[in-house]
Amino acid sequence: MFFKKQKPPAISPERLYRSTPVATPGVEYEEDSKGMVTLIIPIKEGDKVVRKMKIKLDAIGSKVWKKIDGKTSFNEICQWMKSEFLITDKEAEVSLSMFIKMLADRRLVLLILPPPKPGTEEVQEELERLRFEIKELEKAYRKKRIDEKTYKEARASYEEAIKELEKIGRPSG
Amino acid sequence: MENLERVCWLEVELQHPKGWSMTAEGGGTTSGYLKIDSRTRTKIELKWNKISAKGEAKIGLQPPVLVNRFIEEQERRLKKRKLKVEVLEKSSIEVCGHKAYSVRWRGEVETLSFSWICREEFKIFLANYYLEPNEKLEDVETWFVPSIICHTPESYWRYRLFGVEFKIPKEYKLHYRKLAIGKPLMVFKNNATLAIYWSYFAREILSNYGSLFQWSKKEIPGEFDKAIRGLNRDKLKLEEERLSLEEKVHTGFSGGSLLKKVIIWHDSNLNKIFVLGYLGPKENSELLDNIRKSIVFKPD
Repeated sequence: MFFKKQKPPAISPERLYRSTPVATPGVEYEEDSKGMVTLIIPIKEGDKVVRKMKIKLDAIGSKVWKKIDGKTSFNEICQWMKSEFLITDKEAEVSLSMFIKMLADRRLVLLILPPPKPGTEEVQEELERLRFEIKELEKAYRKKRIDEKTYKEARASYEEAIKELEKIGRPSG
Repeated sequence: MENLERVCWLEVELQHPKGWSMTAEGGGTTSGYLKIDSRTRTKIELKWNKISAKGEAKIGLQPPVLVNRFIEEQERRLKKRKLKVEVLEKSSIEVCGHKAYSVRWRGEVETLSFSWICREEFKIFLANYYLEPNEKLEDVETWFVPSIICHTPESYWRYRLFGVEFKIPKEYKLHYRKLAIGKPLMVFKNNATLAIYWSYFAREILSNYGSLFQWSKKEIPGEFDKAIRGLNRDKLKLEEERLSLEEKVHTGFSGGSLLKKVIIWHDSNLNKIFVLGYLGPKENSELLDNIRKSIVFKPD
């Protein structure tokens, strides 16, 4: 029997543009003489790194990866892409969101999201996202990808964030 | 308003605020449709239908009938959700020199629907503008309605997609398109076929392939080949930094022949690779060069 992998809840484009992507802690990269980037991803069992996986990015991905520094926002990267590659806003936004999504699905980047605007759909969206993250965390713990301490700490912080968001309230309309 | 960008698509031109984008489009020969959304909701819908060459719409297609029929359809749709439609104002406005019948009405949101006949192009139009709660109708009438162009004195239509603008002779109709981000393909037809394809990230992509020829072997979509009845890459010749091909195509037993012409070039200033194809009578083949010369990039 096959189970379809559950997709994380979508983030609204408006919130995505205000977000800042950052490389997941532990993910490193090396650059060759032509500026091509190879990502080095530690594969862990518990808190022990058992091997390292390498992913080679293409010329465009390499340039964009170097902009993912946790300081440059999604929107700023779009503006940079627009002038670097001579493309339009729309092309930059779509290409970057596809690239970021591909990296985020593989847990190679994290998105620092701006807080949801109270009373809007963004609150509900964030609640769904946090609940999904708790499920993922449980899965990782069950499969011994993270230790008990990390699991408990992360779960507590997610639950605290959920409580805060529930206080802000769900959208009125 | 400075923060506006121009849409030139399917024989219509209009403008909308930056950040909005065309999310749906259709038709090409006898009808056209385009929908423009802001980041959160649908803002503009515009459609047209060809009418008889005499320029007179049939009674069923008169502007007031078209607008009222549209509002009635919305009323039926909204009734299921227990929402009412309220007509706020009926009036007339001017669109591209034509008198348009307009109705301001409120359903889910306040909407301005208007319709007009363009006798220069023998078309009947219906446009809807969906207002935001804080948006004033007068503002829309200032920047949106006057921006609509349904006919021009020129012999071509402007097409604009992802910042790339080019001119297509008016008698050529958009027959097929695949509007993938960064890699759009459009095929126009009349008595000849014109195919236009381009790819962004040219510098970076070419650094992988090494040459335009190697790129052409892998990256030109099959639909382009199909439109011009095949493209033998091995026959491409390198001339003035462009790959080109020109060959006769025999058309069955009649002994007639068509000309197939292809040009592929890397525009380093625009960081794009363009591919143009032509299949048709030899005497019209200069169209391809005219289209090539008309290409400009106007980022938003």
